[in-house]
Amino acid sequence: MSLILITVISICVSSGILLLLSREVFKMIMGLAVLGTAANLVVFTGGRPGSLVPAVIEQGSQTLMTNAASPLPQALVLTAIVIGFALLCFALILAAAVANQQDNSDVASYRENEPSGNAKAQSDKPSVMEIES
Amino acid sequence: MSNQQAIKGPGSSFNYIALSLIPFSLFVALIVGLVQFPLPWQWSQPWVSSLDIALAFRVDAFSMLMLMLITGIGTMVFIYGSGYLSHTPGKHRIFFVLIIFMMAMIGAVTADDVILFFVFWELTSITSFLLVGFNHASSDARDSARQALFVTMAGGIALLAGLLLLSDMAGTWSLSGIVAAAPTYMDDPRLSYAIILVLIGAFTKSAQFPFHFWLPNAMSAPTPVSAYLHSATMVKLGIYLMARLDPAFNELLLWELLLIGAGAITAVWAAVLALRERDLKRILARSTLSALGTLTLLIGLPSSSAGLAVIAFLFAHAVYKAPLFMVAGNIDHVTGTRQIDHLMGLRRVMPWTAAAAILAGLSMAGLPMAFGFVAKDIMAVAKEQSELVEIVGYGLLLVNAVAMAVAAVAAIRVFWGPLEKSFVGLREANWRMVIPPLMLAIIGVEFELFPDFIDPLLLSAAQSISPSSQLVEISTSYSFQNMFSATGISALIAIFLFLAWDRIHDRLASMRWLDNFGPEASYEVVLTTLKKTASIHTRFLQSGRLDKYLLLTISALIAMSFYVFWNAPIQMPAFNHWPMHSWAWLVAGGLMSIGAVVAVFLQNRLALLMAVGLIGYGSAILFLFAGAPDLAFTQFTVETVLVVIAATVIPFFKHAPYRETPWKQPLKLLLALLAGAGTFILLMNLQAIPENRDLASWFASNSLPQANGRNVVNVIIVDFRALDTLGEIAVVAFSLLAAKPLFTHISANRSEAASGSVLLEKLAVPLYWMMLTAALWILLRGHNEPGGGFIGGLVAVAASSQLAILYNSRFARKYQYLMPSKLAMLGIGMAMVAGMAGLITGEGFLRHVEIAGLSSVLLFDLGVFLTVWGSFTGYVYSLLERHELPLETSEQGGMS
Amino acid sequence: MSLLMPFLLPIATSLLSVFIKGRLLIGINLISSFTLLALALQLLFEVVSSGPKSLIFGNWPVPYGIEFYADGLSALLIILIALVSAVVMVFMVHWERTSDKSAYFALAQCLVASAIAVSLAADLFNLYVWFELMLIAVLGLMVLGKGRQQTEAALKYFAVSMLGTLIMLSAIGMIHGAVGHLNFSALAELAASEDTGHYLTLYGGMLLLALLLKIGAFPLFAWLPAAYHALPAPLLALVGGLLTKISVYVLMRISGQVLDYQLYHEAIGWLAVITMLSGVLGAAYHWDLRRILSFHIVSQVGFLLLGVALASPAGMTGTAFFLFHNILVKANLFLIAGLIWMTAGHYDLRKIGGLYPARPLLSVIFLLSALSLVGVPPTSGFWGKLLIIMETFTQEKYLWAAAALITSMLTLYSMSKIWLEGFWKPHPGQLVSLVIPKSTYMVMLIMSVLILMMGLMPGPLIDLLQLQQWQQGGAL
Repeated sequence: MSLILITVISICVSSGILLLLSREVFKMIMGLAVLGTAANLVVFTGGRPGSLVPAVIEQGSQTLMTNAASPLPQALVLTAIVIGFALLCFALILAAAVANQQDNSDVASYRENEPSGNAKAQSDKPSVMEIES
Repeated sequence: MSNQQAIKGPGSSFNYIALSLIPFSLFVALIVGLVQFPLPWQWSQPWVSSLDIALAFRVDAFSMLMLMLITGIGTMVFIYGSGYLSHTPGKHRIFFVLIIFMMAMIGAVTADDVILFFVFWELTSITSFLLVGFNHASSDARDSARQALFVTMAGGIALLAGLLLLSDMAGTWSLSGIVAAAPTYMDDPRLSYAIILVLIGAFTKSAQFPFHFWLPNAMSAPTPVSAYLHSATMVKLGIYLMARLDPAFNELLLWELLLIGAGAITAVWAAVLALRERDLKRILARSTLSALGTLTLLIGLPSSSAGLAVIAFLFAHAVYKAPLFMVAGNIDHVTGTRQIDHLMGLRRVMPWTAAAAILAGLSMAGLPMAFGFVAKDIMAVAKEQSELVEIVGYGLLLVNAVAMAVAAVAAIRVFWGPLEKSFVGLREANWRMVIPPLMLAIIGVEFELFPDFIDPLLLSAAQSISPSSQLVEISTSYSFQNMFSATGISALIAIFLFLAWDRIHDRLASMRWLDNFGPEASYEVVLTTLKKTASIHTRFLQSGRLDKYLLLTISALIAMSFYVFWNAPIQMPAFNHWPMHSWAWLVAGGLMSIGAVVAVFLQNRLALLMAVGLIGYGSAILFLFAGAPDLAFTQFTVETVLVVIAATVIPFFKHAPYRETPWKQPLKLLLALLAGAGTFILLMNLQAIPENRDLASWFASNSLPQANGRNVVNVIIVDFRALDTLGEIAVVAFSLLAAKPLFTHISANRSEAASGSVLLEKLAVPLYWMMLTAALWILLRGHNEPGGGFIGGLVAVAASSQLAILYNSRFARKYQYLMPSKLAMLGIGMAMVAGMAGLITGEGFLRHVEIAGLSSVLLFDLGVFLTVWGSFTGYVYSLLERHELPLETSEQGGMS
Repeated sequence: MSLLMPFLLPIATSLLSVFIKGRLLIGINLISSFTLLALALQLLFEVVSSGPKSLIFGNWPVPYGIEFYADGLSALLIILIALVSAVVMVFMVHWERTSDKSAYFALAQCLVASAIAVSLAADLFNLYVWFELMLIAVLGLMVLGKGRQQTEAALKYFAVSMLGTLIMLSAIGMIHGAVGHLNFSALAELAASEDTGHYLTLYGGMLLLALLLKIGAFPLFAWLPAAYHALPAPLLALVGGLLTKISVYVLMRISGQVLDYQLYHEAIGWLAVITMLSGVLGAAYHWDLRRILSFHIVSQVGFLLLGVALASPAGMTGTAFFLFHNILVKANLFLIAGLIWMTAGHYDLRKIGGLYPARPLLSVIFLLSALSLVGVPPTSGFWGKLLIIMETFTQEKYLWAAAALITSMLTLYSMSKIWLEGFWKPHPGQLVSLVIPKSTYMVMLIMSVLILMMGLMPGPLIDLLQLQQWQQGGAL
């Protein structure tokens, strides 16, 4: 039935995880995008897709035809798509900002917060917040 | 807290001696109460009724004795402190904490509920910590304070566990109830653990081996504190607890062994170490340890008369040791040193202190003249009556001898002999520092002469911990033979020790191995190990590298989900039919799979984006052929806008992509495959479960009659589950607000803001209006046919984007009239107002309302439209503006 | 109405904040925060006097519309959210004067609104939506600091949390696919039934994983200390004090009233033990106040998880008590860290000192909060610890109890480190001694009094929590 769908989702999950584990920051974000698409499809699969008929009540009828697709998962997926998209946009900007600030796109090099070496090497500058004395 | 302010308020003009009225009035009240009301006094009030924990207090004779010590010595210590600390800055803090400490002690020795008892117990540890660390500018004081805190609090934790076990076994929270019910749980297997835990608590508090080491170090506290907490009262709390519980466990071998063992080792060990010290205060501390050990040992003795011995010694020790500490304090105060090497002949300059020292010393040495003798005498009898292990007996002889020698050092050595030149002309300490030790020492002697008042109290105190105690007839037991056996031999040894003190000291002091040996060294080892473990642990888990965090998190998630699989039932479905449209699914699925696989291999960011886009478009096709046109359209438009935004972002990644070959990293590959396999299992199992169409059919049959919409998906979004949508547009709008500060951080290498041709620009504006109209049309038809606020909004985003790209973003902004982020917020506001309509008609928030044929859901969907339009155009404009900025000085190489 | 207003008010304030600035902005936000507190108190009053309240949006029949549900537990949680947010708002008025205050207040109110919605939502998918809103609000607050540390922290936070969010979404989708429902009470019924209960074991387990990540359980907590310390201390009071706790609350609600997690209780318990110890070890390693406190969040989450794993009414009561105590104490400690920074000029303990003579009131407040965190009587922390440990004894999980006790000892270690280094040790340089506004002291004193009251009179709260219906095995 949805074997195709399930297989595709699994492939997307594998691909997404692999991208997410990448050290290139853009790839990482794209990994999240792929995983997001996969997650949406998972929700969609919950509705047992198979019907071709949209969940729209035909003129003259009061209720949906029984062979129509299940509407609730669609509504959920729609919400999830938009949320995921908004977060993805934010993530893209965030990643670009970090890559710009740190002058590098290698995720492993982002050590401003947690520098390598022991605790003694930590340099926390409290100057981030400005205070008028 | 308010108290502290009050004390601080009067400033230096405040005479702290007045504070001694607090313990003194309590002391007087106790005496009056004792005369007026027969013991025991009981008072109880529910505290945490659901747990049966009560504010239960019980004062029997033993508690009364402790109370009199706490308040009586407290009075003296407060008087003494007001003199000793008169020039110390911050002394109000000491007094404030001392008062809290005194209250805590009073609570601890009167509490009958174990939880209440524990509360006060811990409070004494905390106040002790604060007092030991009073000279906090010195790192020694800080370390000693922390050591005392750690040891006593660790003990406290053990005690809590032990008390919980005990009260669980006894079925009561009451301390006296636990003792009374002891026979009922003697066979409980948990009893030994409970005893060990409780004893760890008591041993740490009363500084018994192997937890004794904190007490000498705690001498960095000011002298009044040492006299009060670390000799007279707090360290007796552990003794108090053991004595309280002794009637219950007296017969148990474990109890006996632990108490006698720890007590004997402490007593002897401390006595030996006392000989190593040169600091008068530390010598006294060691001898306090030794006395505490003796007390523990006495409690452990399975004899009825030991009870009286314990009580008598407890009392005597408090009355002679506190004045000796005060004497040491006076010497320190006057001469500026506590090292006994320099201290000689001080009686010439400090006659009153000398007198106090001698009286207290006499009491301590156990000579017949003073009260101390009575106590020791009783002890001697008690020891004879029990089958005491011989070695312990000899050990105690040594202990007694050292105690006498210490007394002699404190009372004779420092006061007699020639006065050192540098001390000539010194003056006796303030009267407030002389009276208290003198008074206490006199009390010690007085009670030997007039024991009528104290004897009954001691006896009834002893009876409350060991019911069969009888008053040993002091006068008859005073025989020549007894004197020799109990104190005489000790006295001989003591005289030898006193005379040879320096030589023995030198010999012992040269044994450096004693420093690196024993529990104190273990304490250091524990601390170092803790630091090392923490370092290794934290550097591994919190490496600071995001890729490692993700690796760790994903591995853990996969491992945990396979644990879930292992535990949960999993079934596989039977596939018996393939839907007709599967070719479309095959195509879509194929596209997505290609995108997914290719994406892994791509290094170029744009290419990667295209591959990811392929996945999105593929899923849109899938949706289209699965009866989900709304989803398909949304996915199409989302994917398009995403590609636009991402393509605009990509140039901001100025560096060449970090090159790596994920397929050559077996761990990552394995994780990815496992994640895929896990997903496969989860979803296959899902297919095997029969579908529950409750919700689907309700929505199907109620959409039109109840909510006047034919497009069920849209009706769910704007009506049935409008709250989800409200949250969703909030996420959209706030994501823009959140991203706003980030735009200032990014800058591109080269300006991409190439204006299009004139023709395109001419076309752009009409195109904009056309697309916007289409967007509105999609919005309006949404309720009955595929479409709606999201898709409409996204089309509008596309309209504005083309305008911004073809002209520039400022131009596009002008056509939107309102700042994108404000537009987005307005959209949410509009959706909320639409929801309010239902509130006004009484149908409830977010219920649709129809006014003149227009539904409030339209307003709601318009809100969705505006939010989506505003938010995503906000992204597009801000990004384009970063491109349109004049070239910044960036010398990095371009993207690959 | 009493369920709707605590949610609508902050979100409306948030929207409004984008459009206004200056004194009006601050005034409206403060008024809104304190009104929210009043509304929350009213909600508690109503819940206590007339039982749990339910609100279905759009007034649709129950499993079909989205439900908000409040019982004593959620009402109390909302009071604490309101209280902490009000305190933080007061604090922030004086904290930062240069950055974009409109955005700050908008995002903070948005965070409050989403936190309240998370505590009220009785619908899985709706819960997911609010979690996302909470996530974006935190990220927004994080990057408002504009420094490199802030953006980096945000990236780390985002990448790991997003993974959790996606798992949560998938799990919710699959739960819906398996049993066809999203509403808590409907799910509880299905979970209890013979036919459908076992479907939920698997997918509920996946949801559990997502929640464990959101909570910051071992070893899924990497995002937490990596990100939190980049926030300025007062915001940490809001974020660090509340967020993970709200996730714990959601786990309590779901495992106690919705899904059947009996199979996993043992595993959760051991996870809790490791989490506790791991958190305190991390704290023992660090010297930065914010890092120490962030790692303590992890260890206290472990404590809470232990309570959840005990899975009995008594365990849940203890967990709930600990939860409330911890929100207060943690918020107070983060605020203290803020004041320390203002006074001593640094968050790093090696570079500060001398606060005890210089700031006696601050010292007392810190001491109280720190002791409460350790669980020393008579502070609030003692009762939370006691309740949970008593239950481990009842269930004869002695090793768990031992771990909990060792954890509190190690907590003492790092708290004493702060005290020794920050308060007792003389300052190696000069105190910065900025003027600390009285209002900040006032709010912290109020919090401290509450902590002390909870410690001295824990009875009423425990009684209230015991009224709570905790039923294991799925049925509501």
